[in-house]
Amino acid sequence: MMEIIIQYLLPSFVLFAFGIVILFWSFITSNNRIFSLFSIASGIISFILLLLNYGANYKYFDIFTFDTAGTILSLLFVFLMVIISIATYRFNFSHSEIFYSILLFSTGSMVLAVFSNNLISIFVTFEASSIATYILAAYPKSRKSLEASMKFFVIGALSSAMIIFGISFYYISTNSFSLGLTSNSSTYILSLIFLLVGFGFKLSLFPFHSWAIDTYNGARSPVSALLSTSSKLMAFAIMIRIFLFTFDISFSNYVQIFFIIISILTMTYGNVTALVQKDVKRMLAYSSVANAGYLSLIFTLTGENALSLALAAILVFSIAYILMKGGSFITMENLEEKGTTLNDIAGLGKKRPLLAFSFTVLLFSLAGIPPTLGFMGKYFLFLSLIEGGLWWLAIIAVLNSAISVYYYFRVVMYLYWKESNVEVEKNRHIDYAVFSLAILTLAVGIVIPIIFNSLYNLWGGLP
Amino acid sequence: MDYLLLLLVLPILFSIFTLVSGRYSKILSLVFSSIMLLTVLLFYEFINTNFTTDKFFGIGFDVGLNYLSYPLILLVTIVVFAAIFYQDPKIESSYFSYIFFLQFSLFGVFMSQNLFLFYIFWELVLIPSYFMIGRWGGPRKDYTALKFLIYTHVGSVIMLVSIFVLAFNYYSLNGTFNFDYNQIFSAMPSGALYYLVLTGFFLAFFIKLPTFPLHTWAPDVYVESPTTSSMIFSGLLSKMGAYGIFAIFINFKDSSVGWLILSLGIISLIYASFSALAQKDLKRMVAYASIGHMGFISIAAGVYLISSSELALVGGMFMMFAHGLIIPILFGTVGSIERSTGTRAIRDLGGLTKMMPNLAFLMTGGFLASLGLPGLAGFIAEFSVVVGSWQAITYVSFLIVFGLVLSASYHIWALQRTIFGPYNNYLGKIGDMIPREFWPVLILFLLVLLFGIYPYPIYHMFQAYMGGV
Repeated sequence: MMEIIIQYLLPSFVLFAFGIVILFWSFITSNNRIFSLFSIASGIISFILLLLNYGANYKYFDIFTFDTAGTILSLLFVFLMVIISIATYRFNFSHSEIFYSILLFSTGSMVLAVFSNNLISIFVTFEASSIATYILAAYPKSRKSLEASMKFFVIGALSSAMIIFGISFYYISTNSFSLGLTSNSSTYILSLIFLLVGFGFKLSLFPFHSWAIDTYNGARSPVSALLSTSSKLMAFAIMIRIFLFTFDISFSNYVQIFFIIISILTMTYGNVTALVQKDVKRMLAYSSVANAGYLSLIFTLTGENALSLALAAILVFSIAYILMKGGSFITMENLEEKGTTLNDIAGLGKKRPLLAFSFTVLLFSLAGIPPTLGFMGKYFLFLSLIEGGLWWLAIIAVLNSAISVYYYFRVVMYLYWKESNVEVEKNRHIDYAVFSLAILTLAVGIVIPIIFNSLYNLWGGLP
Repeated sequence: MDYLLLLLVLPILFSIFTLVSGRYSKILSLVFSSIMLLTVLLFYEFINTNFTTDKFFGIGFDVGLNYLSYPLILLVTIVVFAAIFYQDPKIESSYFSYIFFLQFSLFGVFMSQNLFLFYIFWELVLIPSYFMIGRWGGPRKDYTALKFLIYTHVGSVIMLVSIFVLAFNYYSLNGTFNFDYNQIFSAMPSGALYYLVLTGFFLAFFIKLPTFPLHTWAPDVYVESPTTSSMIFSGLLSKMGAYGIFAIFINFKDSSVGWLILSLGIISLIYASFSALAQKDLKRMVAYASIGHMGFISIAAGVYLISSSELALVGGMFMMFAHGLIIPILFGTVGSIERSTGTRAIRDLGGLTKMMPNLAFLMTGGFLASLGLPGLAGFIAEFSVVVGSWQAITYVSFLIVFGLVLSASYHIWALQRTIFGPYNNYLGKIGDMIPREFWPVLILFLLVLLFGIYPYPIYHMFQAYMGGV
C-alpha cells in the first residue's frame, strides 16, 4: 500500500522539497533568477511525474482518490506555476526566495487538494494552499498588495470557519468524514449550507465575491493569475466532489434551484459590472467572477447523461480558463509599473506586437470566439445544459457571454487603434510566457473536438 | 475532393504573405486576388463535390461546393478583387491581410456543409471585420465597431443555442449526433422549443441581412468605413445573411413565418426608401439603398415559404448576386466623388457631369442598375421576385411595386441633385476618376451589364440548385 501511494504523492512532494531547497539556497545567494530556475525545474519534474500517473484510478482508503480528472487539473496547476516562474524571471525584489518557495508550497497543496476525497484531508490541503496564497498576495509588500492580502486573509479565515462548521455538522449527522454518506437529519442540511458558503467564498460566487475584486486587483499580477485560476479551480474541484457526488443524491432539488439562482446572479453581476470598468486588471477580476458563474452551472444539472457530459465539458473549460485567465493576468504584470487602465494599454499593438497579439488571442478566447479553446469550453458546457433540459438557462448563459464580448473587444480596440505615449518596458520572458499560452489556446481549441470522447468518465469519486 | 481545401488554404496563405510583405503588400494583394479569381473560375469543374473527414459527435470538417455557394464564392472573389484594385489611400499595408482573412472566413461560411462548421466560420468573419472597421474607419469608428460586433454576435450566439437544440433533438430521435444541413432539420422540435430554434436562426440571419428593425448597424458601418471596406461590407457581409436564409432558413417550411418575413421585407424596402429620400449624405443614402435591396431577399424567401414559388426564390438568389455587383459600384463612385470634391453632402454637389464625365457615366449606370432598369442585372432579380410573388400574394405585391417606385424616385432624385443640373462653382476645378478608381468600377459595371442581358449562367445555377433541393 505504502509503495503505491508514494508514486501518487511524489509530484507534490517534489514541489515541497524544492520549496525547502530554495529557502536554504537563499543563504548562498539572493539571485532571483536562480530561484526562478529552481521553480521551473521542479515544475517540469512534477509535470512529468504527474504525466506518468495519467489514466490511473487509485483509491487510498477514502482519503485520496487519484483519478484522471484530478491529474488533468494538477497538470494545469503545475503548468501555470511554471509559466508564472518564467514570467517573473526578471523580478528584482528583496527576498524573492520566499515568493518562489511559497509558490511551490501552495501549488503542491493544490495538487493534493484536488485528489482529496475525505473532509479532513480536503480541509487540511485546502487550508495549506490558502494560507500560502495569503502570503503570496502580500508579496511585494506594497500598500496595495498588503491591503489585498489583508482582505483576502480575513475573508479566508471566515470561510475556513464556515467550512469547519460544515464539517462538524456533517460528522454529527453521519458519524464519518467520508464523502458520499446521507442522512435525513437537519444538521445534514446545515452542513450543506455551511460548506457551500465556505467554498463559495473561494470560488467568488455572487454574494461572496467582493473580496475577489480587491484582491485580484491589488495583488501582484502573477499572483492574481494564480489566485483567480488555480486556487479557484481547486475549490471548484472540491465542490464537485462534495456537492455533485455527496449531497446531490438526497437534496438534488434544493441544490439545483439554489445553484440556478446563484449562477445566474454571479454571471450577470460579473459581466454587467465588468462593462463599466476603466481598469483592465479590475475588468479581468470581474470577468473572473463571471466565469465562476459559468463554472457553477454544472451544479444545476441532474440526470446521468447531462452530468457525464458536463463533467467532461468542465475539464475543457478548466483548461481554457487556466490558459486564458492566467495569460491575461500575466500580461498585466508587464504594465503594472505604469498602470493598467485602458489608456495605459493603448497602442500596445505597435509597441509590443507579440504581447498584444497573444493578449488579443486570449481575449478572443475569453469572449468565446471560435475556434479558440474558450469557445470550445463554453460550447460543451452549454451543450450539457441543453442535454439536461435547461435550455432557458443556456440562453441566459449565452446572452451573458454575448455581453462579455463588449468589454473584451473594447480592450482589443485600445490595443490596436488608440494611441498613447505611455512607455512600456520590454520584457521578453513575459512575451514568451503569454505567447505560449495563446498558441496553446488556439492549438488545443482545434484538437479538443477530436479528443473530447476520451474526457468522459474521468472523475473517480462517483458513488 | 481534396482540391476543395485549396480554396480555404490559399486565402490564409495570402493573408500571411501580405502581413509580412510590408510596403509591397498593395501590389502583392492585387496579384493574389487575381490568382484567387482564376482559381475560383477553374473550380467550376468541382461544383457538387464534397470533402469530408471522420466525424466526432457528428462534427467533421465537411466542406463542399454546390450551385448556391459557387456563385457566391465567385461574387466574393470579384468584389474583393475590385475592392483591392480600388485601394482607398486611407488604408495601410496590413489592411490587405484582413481582407484575405475575411475572404477565407466567407468561403468557409459558403462552403461548410454542417451547422457547427458554419457557426465557426460565421463567427470568424467578425474578427477581420471588427479590425477593418475599427482601425481604418471614420470619426465614429469605435462606436461603430462595437455596435456592429454586439449586434451580430448576439444574433449568432442565440443561433448557437438553436443549433444545440436541433442537435439534441436529432440525437434523441436517432441516437447519433448529426449537424448536416439536410438532415438536422428533419428533427424539428415542437412547442416552445420550435419557436426558440426559429428565433435563433431568424435573429442571426436577419441581423446580418439586415432587415428593418434590426438594421441600424448597417448604415453606420457602411458610412464609417473607407470606400474599400464599404464595397466589401455592403457587397459581401449581407450575403452571409442571404445565404443563411436560402440555404438554412427556408427549411422551416412554415407559411406563418413566410408572412412574417414577407412583411418585414416589404416594410424594410419602403422604410429604407423613405430614409434614403431623407438623407443629406450621399454615402448614407447608398447605405439605405443597400438595405432596401436586401428587402427583396426576405420578400423572396417569404413568398417561397407561403407558396413554394421557385420563381421568386430564384429571383431572390439572383438578387443577392446582382446586388453584390451593383452596390460596390455605388460606393466606388461615391468614394471617388468624396476624394475629388472633398464632400459627400448632396446639397454641396451638382452638375458633376461637366467636370467628371467618366464618373457621371458610371454613376448613372450604377444608379440605374440599382433601381432596376431593364437590361441591367438588378432588373432580372426584381422582375422575378415581383412576378413570383404575384402568384402567391396577389394584391399585396402592389406594395412591392410601390417600394420599387419609391426606390426609383430617390435614385433619380439623387442623380439629379448631384451629377446633373447646374454646376456648383464653389467646388472649383476638380479632376475626374483616377485609373485605380475607374477600372474596378468599370469592370463591375460591365459585369452588371453582361448579366443583365445574358443572366443565364448564374440564373441557371440557382435554378439547378432549386432542382437539387
